[in-house]
Amino acid sequence: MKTIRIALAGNPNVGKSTIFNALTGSRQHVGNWPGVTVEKKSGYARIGDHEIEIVDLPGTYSLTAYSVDEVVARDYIIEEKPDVVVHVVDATNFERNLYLTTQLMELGVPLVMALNMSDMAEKSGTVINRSSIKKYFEIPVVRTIGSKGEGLNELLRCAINESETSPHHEHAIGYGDAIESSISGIGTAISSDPALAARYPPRWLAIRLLEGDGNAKEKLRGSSAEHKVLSLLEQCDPDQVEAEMADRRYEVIAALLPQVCTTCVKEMSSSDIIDQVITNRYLGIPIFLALMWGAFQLTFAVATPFMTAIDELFAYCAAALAGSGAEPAWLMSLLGDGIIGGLGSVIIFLPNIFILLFLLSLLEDSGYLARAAFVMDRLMYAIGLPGKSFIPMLIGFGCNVPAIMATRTIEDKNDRLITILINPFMSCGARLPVFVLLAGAFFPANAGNVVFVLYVIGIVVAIASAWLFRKTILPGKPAPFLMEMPPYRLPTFFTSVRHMWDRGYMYIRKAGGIILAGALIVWFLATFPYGVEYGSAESYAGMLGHLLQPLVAPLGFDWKIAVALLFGFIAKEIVVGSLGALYGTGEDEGTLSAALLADPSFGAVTAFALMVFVLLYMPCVAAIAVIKKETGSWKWTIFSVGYGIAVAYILALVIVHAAPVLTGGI
Amino acid sequence: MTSTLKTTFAAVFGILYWLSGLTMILSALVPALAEPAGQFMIPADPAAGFVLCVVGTVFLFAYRRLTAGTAGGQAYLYVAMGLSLIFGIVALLSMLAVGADLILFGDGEPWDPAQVLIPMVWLALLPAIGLYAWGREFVGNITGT
Repeated sequence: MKTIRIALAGNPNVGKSTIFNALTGSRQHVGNWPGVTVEKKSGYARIGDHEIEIVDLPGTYSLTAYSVDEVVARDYIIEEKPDVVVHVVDATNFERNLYLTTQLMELGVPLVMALNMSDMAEKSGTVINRSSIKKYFEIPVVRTIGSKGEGLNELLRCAINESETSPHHEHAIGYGDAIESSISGIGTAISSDPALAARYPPRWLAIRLLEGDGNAKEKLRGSSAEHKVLSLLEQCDPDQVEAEMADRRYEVIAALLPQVCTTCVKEMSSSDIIDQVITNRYLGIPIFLALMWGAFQLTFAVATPFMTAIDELFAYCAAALAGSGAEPAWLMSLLGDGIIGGLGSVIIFLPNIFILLFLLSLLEDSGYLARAAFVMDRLMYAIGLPGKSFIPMLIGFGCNVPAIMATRTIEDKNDRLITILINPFMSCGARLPVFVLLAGAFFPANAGNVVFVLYVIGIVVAIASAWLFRKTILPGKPAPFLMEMPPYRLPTFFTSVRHMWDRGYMYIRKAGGIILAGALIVWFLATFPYGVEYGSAESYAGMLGHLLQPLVAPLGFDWKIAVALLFGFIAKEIVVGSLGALYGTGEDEGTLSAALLADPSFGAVTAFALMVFVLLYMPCVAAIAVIKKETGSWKWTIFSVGYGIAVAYILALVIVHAAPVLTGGI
Repeated sequence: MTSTLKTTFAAVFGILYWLSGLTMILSALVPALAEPAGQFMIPADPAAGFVLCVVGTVFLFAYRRLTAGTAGGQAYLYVAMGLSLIFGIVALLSMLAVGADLILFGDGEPWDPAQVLIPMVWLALLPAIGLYAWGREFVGNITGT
């Protein structure tokens, strides 16, 4: 029995996993690589006297390692040296797939091309000449339909045959005299270290280094050739070289394509037609802003009757409890103020969250979110972030919890970390009640404008922070935007509802639990020592407020605000309720506004400073838990909280001291 | 004939959307304009006005390309009609939600169904028909039918 290893490589969504499952059946298992979280799958198949280990690698568009996925896929091919690499190609998108083909050819690995989804390509009129591919690319090609299992046995036989054929040579693409000279010089330097040259093909490694591949530089570390290679690299501009090399590869593809694919130039599809408009350089961003306006409009407007219904339900429960006259009083307070009040403060916002998640699912399922990221890429790149970061920032306007989770789509570690760290500055829906209360009370004529300014301040602080992080603690360049534009699809209602529920249920389960627990803590602090007035200065909450007051006194905040801000650590929704309790007005907005206006220590400047502080000072407990989970680091979690508080404090301090000067003491 | 109709359609709706959008923005900026605009059911809403201007711009892009005979004119028209329909639905649902809230939970405050007839809603009616008439093949390509 002979054993060989086959790696399935290719662009994302070309049917690798379908082929893998069809080949391995139920014998597959999922394995993790040490130090990385990205999965590769391996399974076994048997054909004749060959036992074949098949490894399904993460999808990648190129072998230049930008993302964790790409590093995993590439390193497996290079370090583990499988006997054969099966390049799974989407026949319906043949041209795009050829970029990776050229890179695999450069690597000089034994290669077989699986022309997958051939039936769909043929149906659309695409004719790919397999014998021409074999002739020009010197790669065996097998027609496969993974979903039907067609061509898979032939694929395995072909792979076995290729593994037993030797030698395999690199298929060099000419990059022009200047770059070829650099490749030659660096390749010679690499060859001076026999161990390095034996491990990595010198020409391939030289090309990766010239393209500015950081992962390739790590492979060079400790080599006797390192110094010489680095000195040669200093003479080149990696961005320019990378662009020129990509151009050359595309030129080669463009030249070969008509020889191997006679009808690959397709008529424009509806998706292409829509993209002409949606990604138009002048219309792209305005259309995006308009669609976002539509999403937020629906989120808040359609949620209104549901929120009122929930509010009425909880008010009815609280009234029924209060009217029951049951004892003991502390238990009634726990049920009424603690559980019903606490649960109500969470559930009342569920309509907003579910509607926003539903609309974002619609946008995502339709294929639009990928275009939004593309449209915003130029702007995001200028602040040091990739276009993909924009999607989580957008979701942050609804709730920071799913927004931070949405950063999983960002491949680069630093890009993702920066996006997580700035996300809490995007004003989530939970902060809106605070803004509505204070702006309505202190800026009645311009309440809407004040709230708009607060959203803008959040965005500006997020952008400035991203720039600062990029320049200091998380240096580097954002990964170039490379995202497959999925075809537009009319999303089905039930699919989007399912996606909404998947995400929304997570919010209920995790955030709901945390916020409810926080509300119970508030109740405890406001109720005890037993017998004191609920939320009074004599309660633990009051004592805590007086303890904290010196910290916030420079901002013009009194002990009540200190306590409300402390409770806002749990969830921003609690800030208004806390103020209501501490001012003895309950949660009635009108009465609370009047009490705030009557408070001599509470002026318009203090109100605005407080709104800015609430906007920036820190995410809620649920968001902190998600930051910890997603970063996997207490260090970054604590940094996020500390940085937010510092920024909020500084800005509030500036407002409190600068506003009287700017307004002449008004 | 169809081409002329499409070109005229794009021009008329481009202008209508722009006029309505500008009126909504100016009504918000100049309070004196709010009352006369309100008589035409055009609310003072700068954000919604901006959205109408965006849709109007896509219609005008379609008009320019259809007139010049350059590629993509129909694409702009289809997308403009699609956007028109989307925002029409958004506005209609929003207004109905406000109505539902008032009817179900309001303190006797009346709700007039005519309030639904804001420009974003009524301007979407003809583009919806246009999308149905001209864009069936185009939409079918997206839905996979």
